Amino acid sequence: MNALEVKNANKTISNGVNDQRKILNSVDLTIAPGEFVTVLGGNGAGKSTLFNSISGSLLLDSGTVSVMGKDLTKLSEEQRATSISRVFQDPKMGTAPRLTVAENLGLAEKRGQKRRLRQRQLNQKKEMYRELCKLVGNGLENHLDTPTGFLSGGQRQALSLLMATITKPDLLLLDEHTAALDPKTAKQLMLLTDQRIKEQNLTCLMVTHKMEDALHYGDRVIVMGKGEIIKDIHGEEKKQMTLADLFLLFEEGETVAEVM
Amino acid sequence: MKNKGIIGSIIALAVVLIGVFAYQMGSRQTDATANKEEIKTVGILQFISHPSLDQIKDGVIEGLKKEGYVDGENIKIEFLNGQGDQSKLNSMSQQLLEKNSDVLVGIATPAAKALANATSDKPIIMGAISDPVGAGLVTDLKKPGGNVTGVNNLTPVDQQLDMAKEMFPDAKTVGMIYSSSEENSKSQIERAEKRATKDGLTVKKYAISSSNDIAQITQQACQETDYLYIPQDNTIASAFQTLINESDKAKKPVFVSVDNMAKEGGIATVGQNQYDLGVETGKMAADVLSGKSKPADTPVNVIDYGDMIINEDKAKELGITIPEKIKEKAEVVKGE
Amino acid sequence: MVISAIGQGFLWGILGLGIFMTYRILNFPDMTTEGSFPLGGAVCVTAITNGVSPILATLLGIVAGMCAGFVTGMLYTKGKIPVILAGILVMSGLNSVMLFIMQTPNLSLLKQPKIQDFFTKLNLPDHFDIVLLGLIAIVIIVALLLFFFFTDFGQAYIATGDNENMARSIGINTDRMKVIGLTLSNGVIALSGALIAQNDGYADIGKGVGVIVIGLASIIIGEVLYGEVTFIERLVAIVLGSIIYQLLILIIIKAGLDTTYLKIFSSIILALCLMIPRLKEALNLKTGLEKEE
Repeated sequence: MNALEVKNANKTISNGVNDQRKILNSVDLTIAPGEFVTVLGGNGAGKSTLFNSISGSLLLDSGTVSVMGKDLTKLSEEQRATSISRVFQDPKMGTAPRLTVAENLGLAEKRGQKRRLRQRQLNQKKEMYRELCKLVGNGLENHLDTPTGFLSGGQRQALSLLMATITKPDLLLLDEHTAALDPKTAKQLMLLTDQRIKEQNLTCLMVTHKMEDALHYGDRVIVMGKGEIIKDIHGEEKKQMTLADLFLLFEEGETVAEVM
Repeated sequence: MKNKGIIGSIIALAVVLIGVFAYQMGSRQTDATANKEEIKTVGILQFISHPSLDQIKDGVIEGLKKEGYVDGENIKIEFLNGQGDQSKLNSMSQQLLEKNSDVLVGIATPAAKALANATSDKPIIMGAISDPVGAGLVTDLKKPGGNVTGVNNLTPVDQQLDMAKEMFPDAKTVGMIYSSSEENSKSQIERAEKRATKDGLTVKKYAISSSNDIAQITQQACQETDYLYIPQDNTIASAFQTLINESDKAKKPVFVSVDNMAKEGGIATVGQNQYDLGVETGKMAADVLSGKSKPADTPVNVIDYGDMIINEDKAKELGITIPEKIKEKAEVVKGE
Repeated sequence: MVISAIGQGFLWGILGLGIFMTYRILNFPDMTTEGSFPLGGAVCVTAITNGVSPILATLLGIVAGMCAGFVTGMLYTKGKIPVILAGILVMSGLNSVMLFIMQTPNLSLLKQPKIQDFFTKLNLPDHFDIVLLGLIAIVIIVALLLFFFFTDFGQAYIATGDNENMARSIGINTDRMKVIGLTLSNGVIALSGALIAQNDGYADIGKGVGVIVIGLASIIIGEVLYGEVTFIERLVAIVLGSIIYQLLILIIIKAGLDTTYLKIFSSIILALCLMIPRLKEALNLKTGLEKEE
């Protein structure tokens, strides 16, 4: 069974009165369980749209999306959350600012489950949460009772990642999740991300603009351009790639896109 | 709970509640003897300002004076006007009680009701209430049974429609306009409708929800009927000019229920002199003050007759001839 | 009259708690309030005058309020009507509904049983019957709210208002949360309407006018006065805010100011309270209202 199967995805949006733009053009994508795929592409290539149609914040015009064999095409974003978890680019988007770190983790832990009128068992879970937060390495474990609105962007983003991986999702979507952070924090977060993915053998789809990350992390690289997947490198070929190769690939992708 | 402010407030609240409670319970023992105050207090609560109610209030003061109670000499009159606001009536009733009123007077049904809700033992005199039983103020007009009695001015609907029949013998349809937020109007209209239908007239009823609707409703009523009938309605009273403007444009006569409205442009009425009603109310209040009577067994003073009043200028303006019979008996008022 | 103000403060505090559930937690203003408040009173009083026991009548009032909130919720989530507009539509419609139920714009409870009779019969000093009624009602509501918000469901509810995008991405059906929020909060609001109608001795279709100001005043005064607080403290602060507001009104009346000016003074007090955070900022002090954007 494939972790992710996108078949013939099409999405058009109107850009004003008479202007229609095809954002996704018959995109096919298959990802096996345990694969860590990075997605590159220029602005307007369709990366975010692809992500949004997988997560459910956007509905496709035509085509299907399935995760672990389950057809999600007609489901809403919250219904898909049972299988998919996501970390956004904006650190503020992933955590609830008035709720504490522990409360946020408590909410994330219930992903995919029915939330009932049972008292939340927060105090019992705090030890476990503390251990989890220690993984981050920036003192998050000392802020279990701090409302996340008071934390730094880096801490909130790390928390978002923990929240996204606290229950093992069938598919993890990372949407340029280090882009808004300073280089040092970004690097720490990327290491943590890799660690979590390896620990839990997660299937991950990551959009990034950082070539180094695309090179060093993951075992497959996809380049998108003008709503299509232009290049798909995996296995040995990917392992052998250098930064220069990657740049070239990217350029090629852009040119090809321009021609299309 | 850690916040000092909150804990402090809760403690302060508890202290006040318990303190007042203890004090009140304690002072109850010593408070048994009756007040031997020289000066008694009369609390008057008026529903809203308009000429009829104002006249009633003046009448009340005169009625008290006639029985020997003069404001500033041997009584203190506390007067409050609710401005038509229900919630103000409630807080004002409380205020009048706080001022240790010995007798309360409620002018117009909403005021009387507010007073009745605020106390079930201080005596309350109703000043010109059209339906005390319907309003829940007394259980029986002859034996009120509670702490409320007073003057019940039953609009003389029969007399009025008799007069209207004589004045508009050719009329087939009568339009009755009333305010849907006043229950006293509704009961009057019901009686009027019954009587008019018996007379063979077609009755069309028009309800307004606020004075904003008056102009439009009056226009429509004038188109569909031969003359208009207006009950004793506080909302319409306060916006009567608007109504008359429209009816004049359509050249339709308006038969009213209150002498003031006749002065303002209504063509005729069988009205009850509001001032006199007030005087009767004042007298009943005086009886309670002097200990001569208690509300529970003082029958409600039902006044269901009135005087014919005509507005000659209006009749002339609209081209309506007033039958001689009526002209002889009726009091003529000048338009204002 | 201080005791009366405290008793009123408790009853109006229930309104504040109801409004809090949508205004502060879900972060949108619900205009249904000015309809569901008098509706609670209308249904309750109509039931009592038809022989229903006051407690059952009050419960019916709550259910009526919940139905109103539910309709607003449906208009908002399914009909995609902006929430303020949806609330206004329901509020206006309720005017006719109440007239239909009561068959008159004003229904009196004179000589009818009321829920506070139990306490009135105890012959306590003036107004203590309402204080006890209000206190018990507040304790029950606060306890229920505390229970609710600390369940998994309640946590998801809070998250919906705090960060709707995040909530959806962790599987919370935010539309459903909003409908439930509107339903429950208007039930609480209708409860305060029913209790206050019984206290005042009548139900009136016009009783809802301006109640949002009173409810917001309770919330804002509580926030501004008590600074940073835990959730439990926030609920208590709302009740205290309501009492303080009633006391402020009392001061205005006692100061001899013509009650004609009552409404404008209420607005001024509320405006001042709303501006205190700005003033405190200017003077470099802290309030409990700082929120990360």
